[in-house]
Amino acid sequence: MAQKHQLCNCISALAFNADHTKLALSPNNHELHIYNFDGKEWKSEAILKDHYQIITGIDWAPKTNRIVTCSQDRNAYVYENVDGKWKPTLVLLRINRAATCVKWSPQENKFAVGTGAKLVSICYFDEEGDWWVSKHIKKHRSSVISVSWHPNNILLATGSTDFRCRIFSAFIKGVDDPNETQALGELVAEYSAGAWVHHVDWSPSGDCLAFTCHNSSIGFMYQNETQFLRIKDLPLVVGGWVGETNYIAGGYDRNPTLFQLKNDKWERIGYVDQKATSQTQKKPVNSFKNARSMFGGMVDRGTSSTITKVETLHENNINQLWILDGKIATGGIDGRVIFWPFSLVKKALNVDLN
Amino acid sequence: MSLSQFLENPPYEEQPQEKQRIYEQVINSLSDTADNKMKDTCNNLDTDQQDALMRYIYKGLENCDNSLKLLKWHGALSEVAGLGCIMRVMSEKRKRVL
Repeated sequence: MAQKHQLCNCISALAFNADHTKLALSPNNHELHIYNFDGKEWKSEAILKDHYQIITGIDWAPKTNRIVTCSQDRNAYVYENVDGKWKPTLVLLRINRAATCVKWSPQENKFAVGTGAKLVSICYFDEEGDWWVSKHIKKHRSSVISVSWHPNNILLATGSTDFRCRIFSAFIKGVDDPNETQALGELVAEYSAGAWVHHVDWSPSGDCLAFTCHNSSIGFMYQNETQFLRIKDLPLVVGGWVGETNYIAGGYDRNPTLFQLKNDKWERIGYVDQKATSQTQKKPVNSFKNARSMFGGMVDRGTSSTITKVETLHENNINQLWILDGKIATGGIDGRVIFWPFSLVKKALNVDLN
Repeated sequence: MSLSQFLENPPYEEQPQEKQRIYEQVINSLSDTADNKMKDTCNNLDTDQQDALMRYIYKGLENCDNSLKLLKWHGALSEVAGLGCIMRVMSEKRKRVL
């Protein structure tokens, strides 16, 4: 059974800690809320008010237990847990537009911030100056709305509103292994999708880059080919890898969708919440008379015959998705965090994700 | 040329005169199809052809060319191709059929 938790009105950013007992979220404002799971419910533990505009991205580093947040106020903060209290450190991103997304690198010694200033800020800690320094990767023609680190800690994939998904080298001298030959900001690969690239995601091994676009499509980029799937549903906005052959994505349909690699070809398997899809039986749309009577009713009698009840567990778009141990966690702009156990996926779609 | 042949290679890159000529032929073909054959025709198209057909439908509705028939086509194609098809027409501005 999926567990539904209504935590606030709307979630703009969400992240989990290493053992998934705590989560950090922003309820679409400047506050950072830390929640603790006590076995049954999520209880608010701390509210941190360092930003002064909406927090757009949160990432929680599992090994070093640091939280990084980025906001529309063009700042980023790195929080460290000192004696149970979260101590913030301001990061100077040197950007003149909002930050849109943030991700810690796999080794957690740097993080990437996507911004509306057509660049990505790669930040690392400078020991001499005792502060976080940022370096910029330009070459985008519009806002960067998604970033993802390759497991080798050097390559960074970005999704942008200039319809392109790009892979850059984010090598930082002094932080990364000097044997790497690619300089910071060097473009390794570029793929032109037809619309905004909402989400980019490297697979756990780094062989495949999944990216979702606003034209209801999802692409899987390998070194020698890219498989592009066009789907019949509304666009997907977030996603997460389960192993190398399963990909769960969520978006405007309010229902997580599973994609699977079968015989070297990616396929859409189906919605995770099958109960919702079976209940929404659409009436045939081809009846002109139905439409005419519906509009006629609204004009003549002031009635609307299409009061739709939302059948999915999420009442509004899914905009956060994390793969935890044995379950999928989705956050939506309805303020709900819903946990979908893998056993539910097995029952609904007959796919074993473990 | 049958409808599916028209939709096989949509003239996204052609000159405006060529696009206009093909557009008129497609709209004629759509207008001539019987109502009960619409669903079957849509089912026999692949994703590229469905996207192209949806673009012609929206272009026709924009120009008010036989709106009644095109609205019926829209209903039939939406049922088969889903909302994703409409999303692609709306978001991919570069691909213009006219």
